[in-house]
Amino acid sequence: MNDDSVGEAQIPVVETQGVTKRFAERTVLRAVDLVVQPHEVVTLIGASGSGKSTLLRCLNMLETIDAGRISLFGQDLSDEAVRGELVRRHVGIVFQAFNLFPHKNVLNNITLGPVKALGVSSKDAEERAMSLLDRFGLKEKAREFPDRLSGGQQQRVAIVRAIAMDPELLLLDEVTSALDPELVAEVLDVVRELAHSGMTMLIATHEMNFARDVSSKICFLADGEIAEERTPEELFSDPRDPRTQQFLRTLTNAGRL
Amino acid sequence: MESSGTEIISVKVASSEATSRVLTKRRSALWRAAQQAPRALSVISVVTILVLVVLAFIFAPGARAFQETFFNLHQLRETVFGDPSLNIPPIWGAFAKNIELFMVAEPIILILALGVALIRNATSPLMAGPRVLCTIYVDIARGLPLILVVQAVFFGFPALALPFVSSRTWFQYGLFCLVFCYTAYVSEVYRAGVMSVPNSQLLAGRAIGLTEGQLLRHVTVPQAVRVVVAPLINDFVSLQKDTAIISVGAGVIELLRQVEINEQIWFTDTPFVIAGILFLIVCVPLTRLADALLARDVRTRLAGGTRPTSRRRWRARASAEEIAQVVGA
Ligand SMILES: Nc1ncnc2c1ncn2[C@@H]1O[C@H](COP(=O)(O)OP(=O)(O)OP(=O)(O)O)[C@@H](O)[C@H]1O
Ligand SMILES: [Mg+2]
Repeated sequence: MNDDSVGEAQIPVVETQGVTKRFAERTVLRAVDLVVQPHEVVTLIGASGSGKSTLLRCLNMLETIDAGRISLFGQDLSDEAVRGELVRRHVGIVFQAFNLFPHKNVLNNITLGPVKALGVSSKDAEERAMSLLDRFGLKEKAREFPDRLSGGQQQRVAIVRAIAMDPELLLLDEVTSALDPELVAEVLDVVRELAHSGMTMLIATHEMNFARDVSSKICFLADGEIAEERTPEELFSDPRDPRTQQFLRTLTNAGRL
Repeated sequence: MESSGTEIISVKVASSEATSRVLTKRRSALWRAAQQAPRALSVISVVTILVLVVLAFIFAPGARAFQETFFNLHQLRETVFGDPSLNIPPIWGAFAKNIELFMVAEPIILILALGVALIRNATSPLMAGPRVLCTIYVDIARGLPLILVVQAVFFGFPALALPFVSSRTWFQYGLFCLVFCYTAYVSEVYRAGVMSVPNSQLLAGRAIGLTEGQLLRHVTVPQAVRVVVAPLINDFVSLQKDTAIISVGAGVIELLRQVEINEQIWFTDTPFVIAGILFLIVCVPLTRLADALLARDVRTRLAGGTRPTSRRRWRARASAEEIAQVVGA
């Protein structure tokens, strides 16, 4: 590290301050402060219902927040001029249940966003989609409809659909939770490759081993709060917060996560 | 002792194997029969019922009189081809009116209904007023029998003596009644179609930066159309039949009106039979089409959607070794 890079203040990709979200009476996120720097891979772990998915959706404005502030690339989202669809052209998200469009084949699933939302020509979009499909071993599936693919293939297509938009930030919401165990690896390999290529990612996951080797930082969420935010080595070897300790103990005892 | 024991057992095993082989054979024969039975059975039952119906018509005590009134060949010919001496025009002219009403009403209904459906589905507070109005309209139009609407319009509109409203042709009044009643039904079909598109699809569309308009055009409508086509055709069929109700309003000489006129000449029901046959000729192919489309839709849905088939969330999360590795590290 030279003095230059220290002196140059990087604009964080994500910076949230005191983000709070309620569904009716229920507070799902409590004053969440989170920073994601460029090329970082940050993982959210925590029990079911702790608010991981909600946090991800707030970041790309699929949900509104009740208090606090979110800025992406230095741009405050609470600004009146910020429109959700414009934010989402820069922030990709992949869902647990794939959500591919059943009426479009794989190629058209992928090119819809670039062509309609970004105004790329269909020819360029198709070329780019084919090269991405090739990179993730899905080239032969380009003309298939989603219902003809395995869950793992569908989820890889969903990831390709998100990165075809050239997002500056990719949100992954438990992308392997709906998959049979034997299909999990192929999807995680794709995510690993993206991490190595320098994609900035925020990942909600229950795959602890994966979280450990891919993350720059892990945030443990409990009841809508970030209870602990550490490097993977620290978090797993020396959890400080009693809730983190409890969570990890439960995992070990259950023999599953 | 022991050896005989095993022998007995092995004999038992052998015999039970033999029995089970026989049973399997018998079962497979039964199975084959059962496979073929439904088809044979259905052919037999359909033929039997048809034969019984025909026999009833032929051998009923009143069969002769029945044929005279309902299937009078002479009147049948006259009704269809017309008879200038009795002042009966060929039936085509009248039936063309029904077809015309249908053909003109249907596109208008399809477009207006889309408007009503979009307004009722709109969430913007600006649309609150129109939304309430549309809801009231749909409730009324679906609740009123078409025949009452026809009465009200054909006698009420001229009576109002308003500049535009009261000086329309009978055909236009008829058109208005059909459009008024059917737009409400069709808008509900549209709405059901739109609501059948799962929320996850909308999320996925938004996630790739589509605007609400693009979402409607590229995600919602194409998926809703598949659900909507068959019920829409059913409404077409019903509309085609209901063009006959316009005859209540007089003025328009459509099929039912014409056969009523013919009936007044002979006092038999043969003209009505003709009307029935003509409606069937138009409607049956449409119903078949709706059925075929519905079957196709069910098949594609059975073939699997995009939703994952299993949600083994916990099982998918991590194996024991993985945890041990992680926690031990
Ligand atoms: N649209 C909604 N309306 C009401 N409550 C909601 C809604 N979405 C989420 N919640 C609630 O918010 C809480 C957090 O949900 P969230 O989906 O963010 O949890 P999660 O950490 O992603 O859990 P999981 O691991 O099961 O995916 C849950 O208690 C859930 O019931
Ligand atoms: Mg979740």
